[in-house]
Amino acid sequence: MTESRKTDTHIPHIPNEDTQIRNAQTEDIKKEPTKSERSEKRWSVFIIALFALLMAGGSIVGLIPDLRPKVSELEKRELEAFPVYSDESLISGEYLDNLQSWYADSYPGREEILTAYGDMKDHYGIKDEEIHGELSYGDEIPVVEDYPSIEDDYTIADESMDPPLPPTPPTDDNASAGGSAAEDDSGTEENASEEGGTSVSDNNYDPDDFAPIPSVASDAGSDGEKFGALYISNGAAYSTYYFSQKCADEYAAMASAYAEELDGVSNVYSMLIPLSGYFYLGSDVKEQLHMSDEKAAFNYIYSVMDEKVTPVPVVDTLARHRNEYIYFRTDHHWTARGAYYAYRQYAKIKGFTPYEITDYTCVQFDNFLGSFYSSTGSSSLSATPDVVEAFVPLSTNTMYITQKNGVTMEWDIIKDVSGWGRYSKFNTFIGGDQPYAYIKNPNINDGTSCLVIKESFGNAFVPFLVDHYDEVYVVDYRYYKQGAVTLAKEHEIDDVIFVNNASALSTGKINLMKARMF
Amino acid sequence: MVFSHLFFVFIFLALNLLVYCLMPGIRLKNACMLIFSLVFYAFAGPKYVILLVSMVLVSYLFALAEDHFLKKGRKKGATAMLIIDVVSMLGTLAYFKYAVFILENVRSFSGLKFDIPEIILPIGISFYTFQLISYNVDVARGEVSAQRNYFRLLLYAAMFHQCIAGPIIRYSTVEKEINERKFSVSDCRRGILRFCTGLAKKAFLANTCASVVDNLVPAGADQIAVTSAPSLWVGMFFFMLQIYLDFSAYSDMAIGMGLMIGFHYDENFNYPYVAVSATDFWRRWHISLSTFFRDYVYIPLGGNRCSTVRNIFNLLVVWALTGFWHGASWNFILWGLYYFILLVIEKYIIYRKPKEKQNAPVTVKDTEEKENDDDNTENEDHINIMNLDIVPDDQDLSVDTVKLSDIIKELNELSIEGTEYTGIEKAQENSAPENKQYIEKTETEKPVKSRKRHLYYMLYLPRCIFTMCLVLIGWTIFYFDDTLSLKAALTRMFAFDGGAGYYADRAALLALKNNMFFLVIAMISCLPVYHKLHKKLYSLTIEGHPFLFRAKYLLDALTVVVCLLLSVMCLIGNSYNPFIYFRF
Repeated sequence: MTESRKTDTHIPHIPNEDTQIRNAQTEDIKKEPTKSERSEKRWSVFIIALFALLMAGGSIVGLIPDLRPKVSELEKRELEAFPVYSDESLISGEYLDNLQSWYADSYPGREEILTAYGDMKDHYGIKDEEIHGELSYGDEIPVVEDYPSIEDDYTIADESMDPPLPPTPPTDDNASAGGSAAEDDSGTEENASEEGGTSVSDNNYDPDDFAPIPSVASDAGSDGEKFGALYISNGAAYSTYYFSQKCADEYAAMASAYAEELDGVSNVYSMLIPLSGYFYLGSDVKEQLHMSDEKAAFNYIYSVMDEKVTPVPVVDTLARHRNEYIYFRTDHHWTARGAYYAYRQYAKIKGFTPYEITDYTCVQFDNFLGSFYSSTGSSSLSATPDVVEAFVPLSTNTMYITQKNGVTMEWDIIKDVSGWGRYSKFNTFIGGDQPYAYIKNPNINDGTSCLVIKESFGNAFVPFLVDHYDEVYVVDYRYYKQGAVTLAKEHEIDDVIFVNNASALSTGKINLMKARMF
Repeated sequence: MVFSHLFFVFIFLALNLLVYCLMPGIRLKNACMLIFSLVFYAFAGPKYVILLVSMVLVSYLFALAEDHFLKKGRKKGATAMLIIDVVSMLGTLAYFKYAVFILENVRSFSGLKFDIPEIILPIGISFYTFQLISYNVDVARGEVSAQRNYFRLLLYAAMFHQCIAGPIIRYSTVEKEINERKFSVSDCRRGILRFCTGLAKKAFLANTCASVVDNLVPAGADQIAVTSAPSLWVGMFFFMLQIYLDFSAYSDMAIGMGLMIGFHYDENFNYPYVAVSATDFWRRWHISLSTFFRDYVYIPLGGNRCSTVRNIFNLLVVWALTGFWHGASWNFILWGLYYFILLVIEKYIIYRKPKEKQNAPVTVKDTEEKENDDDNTENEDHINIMNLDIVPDDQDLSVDTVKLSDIIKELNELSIEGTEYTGIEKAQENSAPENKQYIEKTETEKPVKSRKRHLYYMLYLPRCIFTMCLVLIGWTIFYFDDTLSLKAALTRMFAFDGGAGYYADRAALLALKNNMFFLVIAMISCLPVYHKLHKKLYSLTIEGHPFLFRAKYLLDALTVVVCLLLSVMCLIGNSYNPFIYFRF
């Protein structure tokens, strides 16, 4: 009735292989197996043994608990733990599901296998450009007045001009990216790693003691940033931004609510940071990826905010310095250098004199592969790893962080992460994403204070504020549950600064900020 | 649990094979398989094991009753028992699978307001329900005798090899092997090969295709309505690859695991993407399902031995049901009806048989086939066209006078047979070396005229490509399981919106460019290339090349190692591992 059997009847005189073998096994008295039959059998046994060996090997390796990794440094997350047994979870099937997830998720050699898998994927096709993830569509952005950065010598970059390639990271002390006229001395920092090494080595901590705590505390993958789609070209990845009218209004309302609540207590500032693609992708690519214009989006948000919120527009000032190394290529964050120009902009608005970038001690941690690499495994990214530059505050390098488990400890504002894994180097800034951090400037005792409400983009920004305030409070709204407004009122904080990147303009994050006012 | 999970491969299967080997005797071996199968099924939710066990119990009892009535010569009693059984089986299936869908539609059409209960579809229910129905029908028809041992029947229905993703195995296929089966190293080797290639097909090829589809085709009608047409077309092309690679991989793994322990399941796919017509496609796609509907619905309704109108009605019923079987959603019904239209067009317009031929006296072979299988008359003179080894006799050279249109009509009859299955199994070692190019197969076949054959090859590629375009449109209907999304997608793809979806889209271009080498591998995997290579090695072995003899097995050994390691790497590396049959 079925086709295969029909075939059998079509060729009745050609015994198929297995009947031959059965004959060979059962009727060997009658008929000696031919040489090729014996050989066939030998090969079969060999292949069966090979399969058995591979299966046994895979099973045994998987059963040795000590070989199993607990944390994925590459993906910056804790791997699935062995499920906790309960009768309900067994009956609902959840227990067995989790058991399977645990088995595959923490299989020995996971990181190496992931890397190998990424390498293999690089050969799936021609990968000079790539898109990872699903493209989306933004809403139309209402046209409003411009909020230019306040900078005297600012000239608008020619829109039609091709954007530059993202600058390559400085590979040694003299090869600073950039060559911008304004900061022509930026590349002449002292020998970074040595200086940095000494400047941060006078603390008492052995990095190994605490390394695991912040190294998994980053955000990519967990409840933090989720990239829409990534576009990879020329060894750098760009995250797409899609304007959402609803989120923009929600964000503006959220910031306004803070300002309303803190009226008379604190000044509220809002700094919205664009993603790297804004500066480095041509208009044709942006159009084909349907990306929204972040400057227009931010202008709109600033325009609908309450007047009590002071915008800190940084798009123009960053655009002006886009020939410098202001964004990572393999990571979604801006660099400390990018944050530095935003700080200058903030200083202009606040009216204090910013320090020159050369005033700081610069430390560098090379061989950094960031979240873009982790989420794509693209070898075009790993071919040009990033360098994390950090500028140590002049007044102090000491801060107090409260971790997610509630434990408070002393930490370095700029931590020496040279011994850390190559995926964790962005955690040099203020201990990574800690729920709460506090910095006391020993040189200033005038009671001035600021509170930074941020996600990870703020980490690179905070160190520059240290030298201008008596006290700096930092809150990561995703993890800090006590209420930022309460904190500001309690400590009578002068300036509350929202430091948010474009991807924080999502309902989930805005709701978190809203929920964590009190 | 699904096959494409590391836990399955390295814990479940490894343990299963180990325990199975250690068990002496068929009873203990069967017990081992049964326990493992129930545990396997329990992974999808332990409570559904109870459902499975009780459905088998119902079928078991009714089958005994049918058998009892048949033995007493009371055919009506047996039929009554059968009807009760089938109704209860279909009732259970309808409750779990279709109740929500039907209630939703009743609510939206009638405007009544009532709550719809949430019913979770037990995994694999469509597969084992159909197996049990086929068992009962076969028993009532007297084709097989009822299984006296409940546990053996349970093993047949619950066997983890095929329980959740097919193929739908007839009881007659495994009837003997459940009671007694022989282990052969050769079968075991072929099973291992089959399993490993199936696993790699799923873990490496299908999952990668799936992630491309996922990136290109957004969810939700409003998002689809602004997606570019190139993205949708490329996305659907990848989906077409994905669904074959994924589905056939499950069948490969099932057949492979069966072979390892001595079960010989029927093939479920026969390279559907080399089909030259929709009819041909359905002879090659999900064979166990289409033969089920043919044997248990189409032929009982009268098949094609009735008036044209009635025949078209029969086809309509079969294809609406085939579509609906794939999921409780309108798009699946539409998908079935789409094939209904294609098949009717092919049967009654393009490949319509001349009247005199239908009335011509049937040959002996035809009658034989008709007895077994009414609808297979058009298969009467199949020849394995894809198989280049077989060259027909050039006896009749008078075809010069034949009109082209007649030839095309008759081309339809040149369908393809089962010898193409991953058919490493069909060794032809015994045929004489000088005969290898002309393996005798002609005795049951009419000679195919060389001119016609030449034309067949010339027309093969255009026909195949045209058919695949139709199949691609079919998969589009299949993919979008809500009507609004489907409408939006078809609007974009066929430019019903005035071609607004047609612009150079980087996402579509890059999906192709970034995956071009992968795409070649995936497409080759859909074609009988590996199979041909293997076959070639076999035929060369016959000529006695010792090196090639070794090459054949070295190829096998290498395939096992590469496929297994590749699969493990992909199962760990690629977090995207969808199970797409949860609607079945």
